[in-house]
Amino acid sequence: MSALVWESVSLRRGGRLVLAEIALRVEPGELLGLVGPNGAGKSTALRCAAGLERPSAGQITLGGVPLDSLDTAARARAVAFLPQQAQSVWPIPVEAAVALGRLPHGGGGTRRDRDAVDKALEAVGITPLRHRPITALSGGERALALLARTLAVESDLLLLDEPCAALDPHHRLAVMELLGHLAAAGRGIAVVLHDLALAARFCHRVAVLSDGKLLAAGPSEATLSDALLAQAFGIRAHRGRIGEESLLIPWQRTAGPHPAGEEQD
Amino acid sequence: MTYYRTEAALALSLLVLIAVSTAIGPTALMPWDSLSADPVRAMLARTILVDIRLPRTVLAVLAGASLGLSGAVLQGLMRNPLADPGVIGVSSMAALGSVLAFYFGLWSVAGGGIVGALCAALLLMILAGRAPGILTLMLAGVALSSLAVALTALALNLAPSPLAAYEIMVWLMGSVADRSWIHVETAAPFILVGWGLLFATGRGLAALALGEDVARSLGINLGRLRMMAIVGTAGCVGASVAVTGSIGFVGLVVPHLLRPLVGHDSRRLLPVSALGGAILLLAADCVIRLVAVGPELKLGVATALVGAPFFLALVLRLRGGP
Repeated sequence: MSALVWESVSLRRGGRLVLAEIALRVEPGELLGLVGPNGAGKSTALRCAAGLERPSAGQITLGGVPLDSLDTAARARAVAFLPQQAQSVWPIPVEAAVALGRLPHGGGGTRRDRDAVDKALEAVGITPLRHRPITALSGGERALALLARTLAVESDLLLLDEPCAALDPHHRLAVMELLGHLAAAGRGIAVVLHDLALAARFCHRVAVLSDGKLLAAGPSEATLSDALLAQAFGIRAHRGRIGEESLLIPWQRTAGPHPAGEEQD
Repeated sequence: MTYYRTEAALALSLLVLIAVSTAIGPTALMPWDSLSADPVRAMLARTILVDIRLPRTVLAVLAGASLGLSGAVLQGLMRNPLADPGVIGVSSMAALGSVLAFYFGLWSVAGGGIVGALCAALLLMILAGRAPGILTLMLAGVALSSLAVALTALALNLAPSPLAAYEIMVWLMGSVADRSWIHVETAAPFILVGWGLLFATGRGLAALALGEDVARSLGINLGRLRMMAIVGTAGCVGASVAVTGSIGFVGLVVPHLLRPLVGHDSRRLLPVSALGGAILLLAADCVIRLVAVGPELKLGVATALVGAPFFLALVLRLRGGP
């Protein structure tokens, strides 16, 4: 188990600075929420850590070792990635799609592989769908199947890009609780969320990105302050507490134009 | 063993067809006539079997398997059910190479075809090799294919005599008739190397089912996968076209028919498509020999006659059905 660290990562794409010196870390046992307006660079930050994009400057290390120097199979075993959208063109059965997560381990149908697939299906609660073609699932069911595919890798680190976007409220809560359990079991998880209520309640820490820059990172409640919400999202939130947990509901747009859409080079 | 029933059934069918293929032809001789007590009859039977029917059978198997296998690989790579070896321009470049070799009277028509296919692979790597994404490869292939077809038409247009033009056209129709062991020896090394490369893509193609991001995050090197698919296709389909002429639709149709039978798993689809391609082409060739009336029907014409309606039905089902 080792920490994933973004060391001053910058990424320039077509002349635009998509990430500007991002410094972040995910420790084992930690659930880190990445939040920010559209186009802030959250997905790109995850993609860099999954080895899908190469930073223009800075580097990402895993347990102190630069990600680049890892063999691709070793990296794939250590870091599992759930992209924002993934669709199958072939009507493969759900369990076969989930079993693709075993490819970095050899991909054979060993007993361990089958156990990992069973566990992943069980964890997201789609065991009854295992024989259905993945193309025949609803959007939400497919999102759960793809999450199960990510879990089947049994990696120490999980990078999840909007796992809740297509889900109904019941399944959003189920997924966030599942991520909490996985973190409690020692996994390090970085998850991109648009739902600030989920981020504030379930994430141990949040990192707020805006326009490619890291505005703040720290414990969820303290970090998502009124000033920061206004600056990053152009909103004001309604707050409360229920027991030990914090409640945060986006309530009002603040005066002044929302920065999204403006490109600052 | 029910799990591998499809594989077993296909392998058995191919063996039966190979036996049938050595038994039919215009001369009414059976393989066992080569053991006949009559020495003249035995020698004639042996010659026909070894020098005429066997090379024809072997070429049909090699070419059919190459087309089926590469179709399965390219459909998996491009995540597109309508991809086939024709899409990346390898077939038409091989045909162009052969036509040019024939046209200019170069050393070997087959050699020209193989050179054409390798040129196609090289051009594809230069055009699409470094760019990310599969779409670039597909577009480059379509462009290359159109250019090769246009240049082939130009060769026909400028042919010095109607006879030369006619010979080129007949050759382009595709056939395994009247081929010798020399053709097999020329094509087989390239075909076998091509198969090796294509069979090695199974894992990567399986991962690609969920898209390029998922495949890469699972540790699949997409650049290498693409190279293997291009070079492998150029090797086996290029060498096949070089000795048989163009034979369409096998690469498109076969993976389609077989995909549901193996649970849409690329790792199983590849060997099954190779077997299916060999079966389809050999069966078509046997039928052609049986119904021979007047000039023999060309293999490429026969496969296209069956393939085109199938293709249409496929398009209609894809656009209409769930």
